[in-house]
Amino acid sequence: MHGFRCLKIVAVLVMALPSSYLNADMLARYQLQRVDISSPTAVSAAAADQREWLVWKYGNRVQLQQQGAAYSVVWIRMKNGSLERKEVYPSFKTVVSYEPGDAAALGLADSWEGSAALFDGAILKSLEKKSSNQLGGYEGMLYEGTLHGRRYRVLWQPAKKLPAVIHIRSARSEERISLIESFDSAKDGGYIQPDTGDTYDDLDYADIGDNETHPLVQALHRTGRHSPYYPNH
Amino acid sequence: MKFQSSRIAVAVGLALSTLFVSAEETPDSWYEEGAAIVKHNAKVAAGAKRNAHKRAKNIILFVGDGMGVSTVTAARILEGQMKGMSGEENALFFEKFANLALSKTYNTNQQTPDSAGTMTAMMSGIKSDAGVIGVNQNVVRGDCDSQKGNEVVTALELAEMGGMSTGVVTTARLTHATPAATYAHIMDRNFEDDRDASKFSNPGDCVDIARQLVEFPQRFAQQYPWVDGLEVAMGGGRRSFIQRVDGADPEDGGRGERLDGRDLTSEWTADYNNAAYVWNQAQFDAIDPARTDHLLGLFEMSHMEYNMDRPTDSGGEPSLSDMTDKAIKILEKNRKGFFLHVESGRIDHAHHATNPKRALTDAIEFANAVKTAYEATDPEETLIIVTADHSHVFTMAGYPTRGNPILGKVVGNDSAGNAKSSEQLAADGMPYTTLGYTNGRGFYELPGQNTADAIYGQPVNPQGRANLTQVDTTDEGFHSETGVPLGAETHAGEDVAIYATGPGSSLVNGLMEQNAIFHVMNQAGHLQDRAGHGPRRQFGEDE
Repeated sequence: MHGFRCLKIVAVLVMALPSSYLNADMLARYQLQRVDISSPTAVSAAAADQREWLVWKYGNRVQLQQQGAAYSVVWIRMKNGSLERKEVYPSFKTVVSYEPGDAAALGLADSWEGSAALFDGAILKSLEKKSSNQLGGYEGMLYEGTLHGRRYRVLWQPAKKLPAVIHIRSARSEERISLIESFDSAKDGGYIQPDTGDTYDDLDYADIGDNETHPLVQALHRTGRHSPYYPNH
Repeated sequence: MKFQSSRIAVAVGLALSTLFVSAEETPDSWYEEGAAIVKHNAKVAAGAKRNAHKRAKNIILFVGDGMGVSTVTAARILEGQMKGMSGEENALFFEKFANLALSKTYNTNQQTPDSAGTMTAMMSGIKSDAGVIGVNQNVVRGDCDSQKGNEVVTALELAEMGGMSTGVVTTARLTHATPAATYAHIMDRNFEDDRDASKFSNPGDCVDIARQLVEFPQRFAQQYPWVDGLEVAMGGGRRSFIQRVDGADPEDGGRGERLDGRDLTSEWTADYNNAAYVWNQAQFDAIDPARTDHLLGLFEMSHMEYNMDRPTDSGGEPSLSDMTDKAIKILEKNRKGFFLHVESGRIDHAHHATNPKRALTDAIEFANAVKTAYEATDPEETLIIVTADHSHVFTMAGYPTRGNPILGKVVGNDSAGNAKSSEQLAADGMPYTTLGYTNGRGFYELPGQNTADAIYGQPVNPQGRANLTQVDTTDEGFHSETGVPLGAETHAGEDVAIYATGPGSSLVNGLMEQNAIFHVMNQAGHLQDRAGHGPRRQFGEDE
């Protein structure tokens, strides 16, 4: 799936992006490790896909930057409760916006709760709460269960409203998402928040197909990757 | 499997062709149906000369954006299967129109076209470049200086000059390429509002598309003072009409795009008598066509929802059929007749996302809108043309058995010609779908699966094939396998169909250049004559 079998990312955070200097309420840093277990030969050192995420939460916004990716994702909760999803490409000064129907059509069924917490609350509610309160060296509320053929183990930290650990195992892969560090005040983390793209040109996801001459669209076609998009690969 | 057979031949005068609703199929029934079709066509041919000279009081141009022939066929089958039929024998409403032609869609500079150049051709009679709207091929895309004197006259403008009422209805943004080509002239399709000016090498003093819609009468005030602007404009794209300040959007409190401090929605209601602006279902429902002469409906900040997603829309929004019906009720008050353009804009978007279910259900709703228009107007005085601007690389392949779910995996026939009990497997041992795309993002996982990719987006799948054994390919979240991996699926360059009924519809015949569609409307509707516009093709030409 998705060619991640051969994807190995050196964990170097690119922090040269300009900051919009918004007041981020909190910052969390996660590590994702995914292993292809679809065949015995796939489980090797080269099979691991390891990356880091930085997540800023502030007011009605969440912004997620994956290390090495050419863009960050911004979710904005609107006054009527709807959720906007945007992908910010600083090098192209362009924001790709997803209308609710486009997100649904793409399987990006985001919710504010899911985006702000990095885990879908509906799935969490469907899991069984266990008596244990530890997982992967963290403490919190442990939930377990199987859904859509996937085995979930989630250690939830109510105070932070964030998961400390997420394990998802399917027939083909195993994902482990672990909280490395978090800061109640984002500025304490020392990481520069990527630009939120408020001054960039907007491009609807639905319009990508009709904008074949747009530099960003040409780059997406050329690399064959829409997300995550790695300019150096 | 034997199909229940019999057919019900439905013909409404010569306007509609024979419709076969299969109930019981026999060798005799096939023979008789075939003969009935030819007999009907003979009557159509006999009346063609008279039809060609009949004047159309009203003209409705329906455009299914990206609705190539394979899309029509698949939508026809899906609609039939949704009715409990086998599907193949079904016909979408507009497929019953008596007159049919093929349209060559290429742009003046592109073998495979885009919507801007193709709709310019249909609306003006002049093919143009990809990416430009309402201007000819002499314009350099993005260069405002090159636009001057190269604006072409559109059918909608001629209708306004002739005193007819006019309207545009779309599920895309009202400022998107296809609807914009009816009323606007601009050197780049992406110049939808003034904030877009920074995108172009030379925006000059060119006016953005949203402003052109609202300021439409001003362009004609000197020479055609009776031109009163569009009576109906409904679709998405609210953001290009409202200011870029927090709280400007009444639905979600967000910002619009306009930097010039103008609120074009309030200007619309201020500029016209008996004018209304609506942005949600309740307001739309409350509109009384008898007391509304100018209606602006902007139901989304960007494009409207796919038809299957409308029920979950926060503000609620009307269907394409609902908008078409309301538009006609407002437009038909003018005794001089009307010109209406109706676009299903999101067939194209769903195809770009390789999401066949949304593309086909939008195409079915498009056919419903055509039916609404046909039934709401007098077929003796209304020319209805249904076509597409371009096609998509959307294919229908394999050898599925009769009645196989069109969104499903291929189940073939055995050597005796009966359906097998299991899915057909390819040389790689995996099943495959009937519908697919020759390029695009490729298959990827479905919603309801919280994974890292679900949070962070879905990458293009460069592998082409995937094991679909456990995948429900009829699910709305299914994305088809594709051949060439691209960030988005592309348009296709083959011809599209033109369907027509009503006075002058027999002029739609054979293999036509796409720009000839304008000439059909012009001749049937006497548009230039009614406008007193003579043979002029561009605004820059002398009288």
